[in-house]
Amino acid sequence: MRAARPSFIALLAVAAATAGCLPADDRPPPGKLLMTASPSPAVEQGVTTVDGWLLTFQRVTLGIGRVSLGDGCNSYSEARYDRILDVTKGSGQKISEQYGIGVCDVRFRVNVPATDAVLGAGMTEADRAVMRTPGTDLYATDAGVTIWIEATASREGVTKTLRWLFRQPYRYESCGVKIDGQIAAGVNLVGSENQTFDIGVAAERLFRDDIQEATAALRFDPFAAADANNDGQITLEELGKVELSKIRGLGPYGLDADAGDGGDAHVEAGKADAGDMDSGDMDAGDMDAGDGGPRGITTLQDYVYNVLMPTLPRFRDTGSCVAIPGTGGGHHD
Amino acid sequence: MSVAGPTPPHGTSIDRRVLRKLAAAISSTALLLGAPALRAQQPPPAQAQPPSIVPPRLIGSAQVTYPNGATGEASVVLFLTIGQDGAVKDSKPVEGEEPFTSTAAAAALSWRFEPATRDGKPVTARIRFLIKFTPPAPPEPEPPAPEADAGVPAPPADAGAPSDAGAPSTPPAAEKPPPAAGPKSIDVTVYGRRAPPGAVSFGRAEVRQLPGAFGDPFRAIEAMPGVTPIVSGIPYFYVRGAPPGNIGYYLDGVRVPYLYHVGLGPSVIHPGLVDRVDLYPGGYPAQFGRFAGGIVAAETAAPRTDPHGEGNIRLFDLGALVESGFANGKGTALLAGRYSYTAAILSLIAKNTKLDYRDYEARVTYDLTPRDRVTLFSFGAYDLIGQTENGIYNTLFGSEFYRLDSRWDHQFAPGSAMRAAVTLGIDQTRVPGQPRNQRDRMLQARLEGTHAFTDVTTVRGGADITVDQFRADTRPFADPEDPDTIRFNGLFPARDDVATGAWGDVVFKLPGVEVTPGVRVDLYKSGAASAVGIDPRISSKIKLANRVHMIHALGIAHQPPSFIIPVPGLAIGSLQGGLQRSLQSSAGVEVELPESITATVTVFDNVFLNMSDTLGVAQRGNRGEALLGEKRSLGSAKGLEVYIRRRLTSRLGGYVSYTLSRSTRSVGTEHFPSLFDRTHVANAALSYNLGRNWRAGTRFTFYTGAPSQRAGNSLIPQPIDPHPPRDPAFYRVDIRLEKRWILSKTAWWAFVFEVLNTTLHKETLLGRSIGPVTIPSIGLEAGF
Repeated sequence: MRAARPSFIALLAVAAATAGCLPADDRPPPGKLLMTASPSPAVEQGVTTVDGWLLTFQRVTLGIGRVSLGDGCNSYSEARYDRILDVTKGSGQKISEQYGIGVCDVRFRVNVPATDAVLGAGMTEADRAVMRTPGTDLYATDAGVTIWIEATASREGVTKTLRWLFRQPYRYESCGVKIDGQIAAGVNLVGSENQTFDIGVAAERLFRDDIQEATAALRFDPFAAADANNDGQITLEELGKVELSKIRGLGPYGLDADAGDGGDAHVEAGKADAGDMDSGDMDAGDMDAGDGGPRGITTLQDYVYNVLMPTLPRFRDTGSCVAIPGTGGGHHD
Repeated sequence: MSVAGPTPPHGTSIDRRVLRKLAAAISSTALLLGAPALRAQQPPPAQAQPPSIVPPRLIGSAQVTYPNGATGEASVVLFLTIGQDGAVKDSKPVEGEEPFTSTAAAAALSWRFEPATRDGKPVTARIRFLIKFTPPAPPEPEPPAPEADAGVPAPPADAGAPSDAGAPSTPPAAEKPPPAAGPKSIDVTVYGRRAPPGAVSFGRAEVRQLPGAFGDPFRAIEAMPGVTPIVSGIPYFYVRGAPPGNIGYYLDGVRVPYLYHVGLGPSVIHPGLVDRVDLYPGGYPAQFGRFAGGIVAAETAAPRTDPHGEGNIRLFDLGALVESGFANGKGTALLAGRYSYTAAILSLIAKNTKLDYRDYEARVTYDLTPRDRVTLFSFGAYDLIGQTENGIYNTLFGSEFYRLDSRWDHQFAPGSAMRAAVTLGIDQTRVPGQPRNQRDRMLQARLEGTHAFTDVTTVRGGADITVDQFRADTRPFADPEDPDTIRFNGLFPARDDVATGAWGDVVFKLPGVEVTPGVRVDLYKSGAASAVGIDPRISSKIKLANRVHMIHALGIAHQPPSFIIPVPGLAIGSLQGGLQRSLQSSAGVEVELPESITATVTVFDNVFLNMSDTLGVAQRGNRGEALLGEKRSLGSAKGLEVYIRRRLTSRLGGYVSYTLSRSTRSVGTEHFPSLFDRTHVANAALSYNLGRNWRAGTRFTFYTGAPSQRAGNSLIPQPIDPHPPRDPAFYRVDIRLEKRWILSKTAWWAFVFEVLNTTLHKETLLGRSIGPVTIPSIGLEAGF
């Protein structure tokens, strides 16, 4: 072997030992999707029900986040973390930002916030503690809080207050946007283009008397009547004593699964669809049969908890999502 | 076959059994020939001989081809007469059988020596030289961990502080003063370096015969006692309770960030270059530090001046190694590498997926003087997994490391040597999920030395300083408020780390007793944090009876916080959580049985303080911090190891390795078994020479299940069962079949068929079925 060979090897060795070879990230610039959450106008300003109650919301707090871009597009980065947001504190609160290219199926979750959840505007560690304090209700065992509602209803000098803690987590998939009246699946992310998608949190939907947008009205009388001890505090447990069959004279309180113009919304695991309520495409028809979740939809509590509550977060004003009930107590996956 | 250095004098009649033992003892010397390590074990000239006598020194390595048509192992002792010009004037076999004796005698005539000198003047010398033939091993030498026979001046154990490969050839030390002036003969003795008490070694030739190791020396680690696998076929493991992140990997004293391509593939160092792999499961010498678990130290084969090489082609990769001398034997140059063409194969199956791995090794040595050698050694590895989706390529995972080690080895006198070295390195990883490149640029300077004051006392020591510059690409497209990103940045901040330390030990070799006390002190600085670790160590080997020794090892080791598994460029910064500490202790009995069988029974008790073993405590529910966070615990591992072994290169070779252990963790008031605690781990292998250059082997691996515990999904912390249910036990059978053809005195080729987990057994881990992980390998190997 000639002497030149070792020198050549040495030069190669020096070069290799001082510079890496892994490629840099040379993908084309992605589009940015900023997800935000805002209160519905009713949450923000209050709303009067068809039976004359003025509803005002003092707190609409939820654990929300873990946004992913699903399959079908090039996801550059996702933000799989939670935020604790109270949408009554302001509009356009950031949930997370993510990057990708292509038509992406946006997914997010409403769930018990993890220990490292980011606190939104006005949120404190005390709020985090409440959201992460395990509790048990008819639908969840030893679970934290996913949605925390505090509201007041008043009419003719009568005031009712409520403080409801919902513990059932949901993940929302197949979120689409309505374009020219048609629901288009996913969000089209274009390179170097920033887009903002807002999730409206319409807490007033808890008081709707139907899942069909066309026929639904906000109605509070059944809730006021549920205050059996007349202490002014309406609890979820008190709603559990109100049979749906006995209040259907006031409103439809329907569970029909007629597909609306949203078309793509459907129920997973027999639960509620949180999608395009405007199109009335809630599919809860099976719930009376008792296989729609932990129990059938027979009381007002069932109706609020399992049918209406999943409809609170809405992907843009015109979008739809499929809500899939989840499990978990606030841990990372 | 392996070649050993000159043998000790045994009068005119050399007992074959003694020679056989010496052959085992000295066979590793072939690779260590000329190493400072070796020199340190030789009787110091000031005590044993007049210092004016310098014995002949072999230039390069002594090569003898395994005789064509011969079978089995053989030892040959030659009397060589080395002229004043260094040429072998005469070569006569005095021990051994045909055709080995004639082959060895003929080959020796082509060797070159630095002539013996007396008062600085060349003199003719006559030496004994032992040659050991080992079929059907490739031409490189075979390195066991030998021990000098009783009756000859016993060398200190592991007296060589500096790594040996690449060091100048060692002039054999004279055992007794030579006769008066004139061309008279001298007898010389060379001793092989023994593994320190408690270490387990595998040589390359042996690993070639180990089914399921695919010829990779590092793959043999999982077969050693004290090693608990995580999942079959995946070469990450616990060593006496220490997690993968607490085990240090070294090649010729140079830190290596990981051993296996893409985490589970072949080793990142070409097998042909690796001479021997030592596993130090605990109580290791003071030379090793900054890891609180175990040490895997590999050494490269000694440089050879004769042109030689080998290559292999397998289903998924090919590799080659070539080496030759230059400058009339003063220098050697080696180039080796491996390239995976899995990408091409994978493209036929999954067109959008890319899998690529490769490694290289390059080494140049040059003997400036008979006592000075400089070496430039560079090696590195590259792994990449990528995917093309919708026309956009994305690197999902990538890792690489490169090292450039420049050394100067100098021998002051027999038994006194030093090594000065400077190492440049870069480690880099494309971190999945981030994604960005995280890198570590390393600069290390080290100085090591050894000096034998007397037959009884050898002092070894060293010092080094390592600067690691950790940097990361800015995460280009990410939510800056993402807690994972924030946590990642917090754990792995951009910073410059400095670790500097010094170590020293003394080998006291008394009749029947060998004691090595030592200590190392390390200063760690990372960002604004600093810490000091003081690690006293002591080991002993006491002769209880003929062929029976008791071995003890006790030591303290410190380590900065460690990541789950070794990942290039990823090291937790700022000493978050403080240093980990371990107290390692073991005691064992080693018995030499008939038929060249050795048996060792060892009990160990390790305690890990402030341990960062995220895997081992994962059942507690690490929540968001599972991968990135730190969970400190108090760890404990106790156990019993049994290791019975007969060299796999023997006509019928094999081993049994069994570990009974209990590894626990304590966090707060909870005390529970480590998530990868396996009560029983057993390995057994047999390799048999079928004749006509056919060799077959099989290996049986068995271990009991780990705790079947998962982190709960409840906000209410659930107590951890201290006696949890276990996953089912697992076993697998590996096979290996080899046919070798000898083409000439130096050329050969072979067909190798090997399967890991022939029985297609599935494994259950945390209640989930995995696999079967079955890895077939069909390949051709050739060498010259």
